[in-house]
Amino acid sequence: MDAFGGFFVDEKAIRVENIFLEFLKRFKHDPNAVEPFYEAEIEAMRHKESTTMYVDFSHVMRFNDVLQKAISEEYLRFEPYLRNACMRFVMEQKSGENRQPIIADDNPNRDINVAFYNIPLLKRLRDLTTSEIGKLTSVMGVVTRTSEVRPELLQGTFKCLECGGVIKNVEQQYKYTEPIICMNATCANRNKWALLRQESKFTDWQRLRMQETSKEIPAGSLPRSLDVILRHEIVEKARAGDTVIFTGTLVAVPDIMALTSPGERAECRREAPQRQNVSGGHGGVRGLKALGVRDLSYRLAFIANSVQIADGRGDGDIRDRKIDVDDSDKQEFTQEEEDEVMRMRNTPDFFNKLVDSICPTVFGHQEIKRAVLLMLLGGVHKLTHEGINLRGDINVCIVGDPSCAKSQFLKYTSNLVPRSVYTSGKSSSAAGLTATVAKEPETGEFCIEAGALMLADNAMEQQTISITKAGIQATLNARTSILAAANPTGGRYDKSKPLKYNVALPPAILSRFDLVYIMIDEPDENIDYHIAHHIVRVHQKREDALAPAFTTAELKRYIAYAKSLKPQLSSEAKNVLVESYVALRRGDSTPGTRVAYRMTVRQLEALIRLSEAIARSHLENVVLPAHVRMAVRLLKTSIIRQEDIFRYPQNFKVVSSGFLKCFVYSYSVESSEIDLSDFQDHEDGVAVNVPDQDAAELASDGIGPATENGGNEQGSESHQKKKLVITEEHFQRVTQALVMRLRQHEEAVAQDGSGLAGMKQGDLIIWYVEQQNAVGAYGNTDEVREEVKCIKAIIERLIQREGHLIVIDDGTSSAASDGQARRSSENRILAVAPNYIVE
Amino acid sequence: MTTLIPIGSHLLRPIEREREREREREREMVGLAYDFLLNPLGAVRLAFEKAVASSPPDADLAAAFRGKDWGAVDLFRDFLFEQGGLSQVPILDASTIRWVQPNTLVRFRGMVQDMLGNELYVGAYKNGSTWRTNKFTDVAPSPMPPAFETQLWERHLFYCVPVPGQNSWTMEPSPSPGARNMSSSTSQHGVKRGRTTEDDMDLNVVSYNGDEGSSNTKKQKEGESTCQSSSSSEDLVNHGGDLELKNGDSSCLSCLVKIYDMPESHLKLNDVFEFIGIYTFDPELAGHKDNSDDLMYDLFEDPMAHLPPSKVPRLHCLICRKLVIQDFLPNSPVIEPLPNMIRKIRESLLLHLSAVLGNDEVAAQYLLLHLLSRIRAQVDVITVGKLSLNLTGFTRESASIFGCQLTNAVEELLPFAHAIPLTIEYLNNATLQPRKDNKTGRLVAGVLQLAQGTHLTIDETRMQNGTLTSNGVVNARLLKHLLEWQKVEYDFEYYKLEMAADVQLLIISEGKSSILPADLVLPFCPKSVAPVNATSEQLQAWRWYLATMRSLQHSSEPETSQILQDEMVAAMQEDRSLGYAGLTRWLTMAELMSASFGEKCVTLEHWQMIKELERLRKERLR
Repeated sequence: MDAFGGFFVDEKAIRVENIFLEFLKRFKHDPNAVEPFYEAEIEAMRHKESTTMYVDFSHVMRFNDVLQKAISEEYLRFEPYLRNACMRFVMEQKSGENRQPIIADDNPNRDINVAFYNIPLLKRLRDLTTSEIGKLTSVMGVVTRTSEVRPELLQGTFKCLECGGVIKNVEQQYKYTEPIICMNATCANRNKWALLRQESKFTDWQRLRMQETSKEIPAGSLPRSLDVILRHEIVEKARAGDTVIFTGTLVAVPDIMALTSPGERAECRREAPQRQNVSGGHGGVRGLKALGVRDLSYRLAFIANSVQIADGRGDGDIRDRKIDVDDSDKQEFTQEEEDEVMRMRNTPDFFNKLVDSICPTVFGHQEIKRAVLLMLLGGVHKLTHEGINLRGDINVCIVGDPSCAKSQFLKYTSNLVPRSVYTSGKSSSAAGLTATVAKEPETGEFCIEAGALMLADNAMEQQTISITKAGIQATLNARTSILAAANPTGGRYDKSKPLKYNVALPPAILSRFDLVYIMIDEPDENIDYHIAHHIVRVHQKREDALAPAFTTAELKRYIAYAKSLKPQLSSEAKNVLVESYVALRRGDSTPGTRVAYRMTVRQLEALIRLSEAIARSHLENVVLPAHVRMAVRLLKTSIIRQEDIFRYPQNFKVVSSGFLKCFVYSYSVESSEIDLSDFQDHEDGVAVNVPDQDAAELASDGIGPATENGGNEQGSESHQKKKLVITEEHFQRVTQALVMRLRQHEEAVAQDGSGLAGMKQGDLIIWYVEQQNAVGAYGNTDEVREEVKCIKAIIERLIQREGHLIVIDDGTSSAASDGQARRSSENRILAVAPNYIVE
Repeated sequence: MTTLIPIGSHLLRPIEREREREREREREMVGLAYDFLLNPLGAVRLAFEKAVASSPPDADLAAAFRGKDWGAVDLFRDFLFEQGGLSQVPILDASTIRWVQPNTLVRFRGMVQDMLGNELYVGAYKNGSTWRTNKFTDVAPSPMPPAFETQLWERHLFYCVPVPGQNSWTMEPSPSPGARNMSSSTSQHGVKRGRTTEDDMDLNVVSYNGDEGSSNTKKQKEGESTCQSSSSSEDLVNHGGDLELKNGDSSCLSCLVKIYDMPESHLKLNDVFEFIGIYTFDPELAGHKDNSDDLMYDLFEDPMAHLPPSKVPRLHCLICRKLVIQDFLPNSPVIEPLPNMIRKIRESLLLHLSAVLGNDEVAAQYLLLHLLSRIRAQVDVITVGKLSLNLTGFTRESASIFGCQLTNAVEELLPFAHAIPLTIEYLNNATLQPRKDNKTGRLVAGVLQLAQGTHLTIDETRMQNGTLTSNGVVNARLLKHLLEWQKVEYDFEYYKLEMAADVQLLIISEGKSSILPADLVLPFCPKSVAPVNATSEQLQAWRWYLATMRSLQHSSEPETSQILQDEMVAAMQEDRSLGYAGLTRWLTMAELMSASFGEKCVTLEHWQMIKELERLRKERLR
């Protein structure tokens, strides 16, 4: 290598600088784009008063292979030249147009810094070795410590205290460095200097420590740590606890503990050619002074030029260009991973093989394994902007005799899912809570009983359920799927009695489970034999003998991949869904038929979730009728029994601050025309596409990101929209009235056992207006019209945004028959979403 | 630090030749160019220079030797294992550190408690035209040349502590300084290594012992039957606290081990290793700690700052070897593992155990199986081979007699054993969970950071009604998790990691412990209080027996598997409550039963014995 590079003109570096400048000037993301990409970047910099030029490394790779190689292989060497290229680029831009400059000429302390991101290969922290020193790399880790931000002297200007001469631009390398000797020929001063702060160049500086993420740690090892240096504008971009991708380069720094004197700490093994100081050969002590006898140890440190928050926290974008690294939603898969997943998908009988690969140490219990698989896949999560969740999570409960391997399912699942909590038994408790130890007088057993706080009702408010008697403890927040195992109340499951006598779970909690299975020990010699065989094989370490079709690692990748899909219900699937729902309800309400469950809207939601999960298991983007049918069969095998659908847990409250705002948005959707038929186009059958609708609403309102199709659709039909504003109080009053009416109706229907839950929207509106009219709310028909319009908007809002109401039947079939498609919004059947709480 | 450079090296420059001559005079009549025990670095460097000399002249020498051994380790291997040098190598511990000299060869046995990652060091540098090496040392003999004449090599740092719960009888006697003088009197004589004088060393050792702290290593003499549980409870509360406190403990010598040329994955957390290497201990390096006026460094602590070379000895490892339980049986008798012999030892051990347990023979049988258990496999979520035992029916009085006898007996029989009291106070105050302190960068040991094969006795008899704090709840959960899954969760502040464990758990309690539901619950029925005596020969035989039978590999034959399966089906039909867990337990017990006879294969006879034992247990449970 060019060890003396600093003392000669680094010709290659100059070439790199020029090519890089060319890249900045020329690169266009899209060949047809008018403006080169990085000119726009300058605009962004100007806007944010930023001096950091963010460069997407994939652009560099597309632009020039030589440049790409030079930067990635010898980043540390070329970094000053790259910065220089940015500087030239910015200056040229400035001189070209008469705009506000990014860098004022009179400010010598401002530089343009270059920050790369989107390096294709993310290195594991563990793999950063000496061979990576000086290269451009990205590494991911969890930040564990951050220092305060401090000023770092980059270039010092010194005054000689002997002759008063000023020496400028003394380069500082990790250490306060004074000139070696005064420039003045008659002055021999070597050590009396004063730093002129005003004329020196400082930058912000911060040190972090990062630790390997839990995924990257080999078994039996501890996570590694690495110190990261941040400078300039990227300081304070990462907080302790963040999972972060740093891009930058590895350097070796002397280990403090092995050093003899602080002066020698200057020797940092930066192999970068030091830029020659313009003012002459007094670049300060470069540390080439011989190291003391003890200075043998060095440590690796990482100098980062860009910081990306990888755990989906919002504010970690590279200059508002959203980098999606949300691990559950937009995971990147390598080609090999994708191939592997597709190969698994194309295996004959893959679904059953997937099922069998779940918890292979447990023999049999296919239906539970299937439920666990679907739970791991989950349905599509729908989140309204106010944080009201339509959960996509599938909750599964296993009730079974003691010692029948229930807990193996739990443990298996907690091992498989990266962020899971395994709790079981009486000693379980949420963190931060105390528990009581008490002796049971008869047996002399000491039991840990959770404090009163933990018991169901109260704890529900904290979104925590804990039923110690049943051996369940779980946190019920919006995005948690629960796999629970409970022992039967009487020690063994009594099949002669229904589920509710066997499990000490309040119906409110039981009803939160989509699938409930009973693991009963059936005396069956054949099964017994298989179990015995299975145990013997496990004991003989014949792992291969019980090797499932897919390994755990394969299964994990398959699930991760499948979870990245967001299957939508096809219209055929919707029809099947509605038919099945109707059929199930009918079957349920027919006297004499032995159906173990009662069909409610809650089950309808479960059905949708299960269908989505099944579609995911097939790697389909669309939920097909076959998936729905399978979900229906599954639901039938599960034995959930709704004790009372109206007893809802009061575990969340609507935060009212966000309410008013969203309410205003809702009215921007409203069209100014009174005609009811205008609503049909907003309809979306079953209320599953809430987020899209939200985006559409926002787009039409000019707020938020423009999702193109949504925006256009909305735009084409609401040319003359007028903002309608009502008070939040009014909105809530109407909401409550509507919900109450729907619930009453549902109850009535459930009692006489006929017909569908839910009401036609038209009927509901008429009911409301009649109610209001009865108390003399309206003065004239215009007011009634306004009210109807208002209610319609509220209903639309409740369906699309709040998710308080759901559409059971979009009414298109009946509407089509009478040729009045335009009126379908009136015909659609509405019901209260099962998650909604009547306050 | 002065180094010994071999005589007659033609590579030396004039000044060095001069120095060399001086040294030569010092050494006078030394025959060998170096001494493996007292000047191991001489051997390392000589081997390096030889290797350099024999390489082609234009090769990139230093790079060629990076991450590789150039024959030095082979020299040591030959010396230690072929020429019987091993017995002369002193074991580094709290007593030997008083006289062991820096830069000499030592042995250290310990558990990998923390992994401190990599360290880069100037592995090779050019001195004039010659490449020299700094491998296996912290300091260089001469000033380092500019960066382009040096090579950065890599070594791995492991923080090793004495195995938690290691019993004093496992300590191997180390060759005394006298013995060493005998064996190497010629080279010892006249060699003045380094600037550290004996006096310096003594001073340091004093400061070593200065800190207060109680011993984790049980100093108990064999046969002595004092009850330790009351005092050990206090110790253990402290255990997880401050590691540096432990370092100050005279009997707990921790060591920073530097490993070369080996993938880091070779050593796993909580593995027990023997390291043979070069010991360095340098009080002078401490003084530089406070000079950190540099912006770069003084913002937060460096893990190494807590392990200053002046306090924590370092060992530059030449050869290391993973240890198993058998390695902790000093003076182990050479017993021919004949079935007859094994049966006899088994019988006498059972007699001993039942004496310990007040002549409760059933309990003795179960205890034997329990003591032989170990984790044989982690198949997915199933842990094969664990057999935790809960002896119930203890009262305060019987616990003070039998509980103590039991704890003592276990400590006498197994190399690593811990006893913890399960009380409200203990759970609320103890640190069971190992935790990463991100401020210091260190893993703070918890009580449950244990080596594989450690025995843990949990005494619930002194439990009383009370309230657990959140720490108490966490501790109870950790213990239960360990019991059920043989895994311990380590806290890394921002995430948690589960580490596999292999810990035998014995619980003694009044009623069945529902805080720690063991695999087996057996009501304990002592008949009499008998004196417990054992000769040291007996103890040695039993230790050998337990260690050997425990590590026996099980095998299986298709016919027996078939018979077992049929038996299991029959058992299940007889008693439906047995279930999956019960059958698994029976099979484990049958395997341990066969192991207790020194047999690798389960036979129908063993199965019948288990069934009979279980029948007796069931009767008691009624």
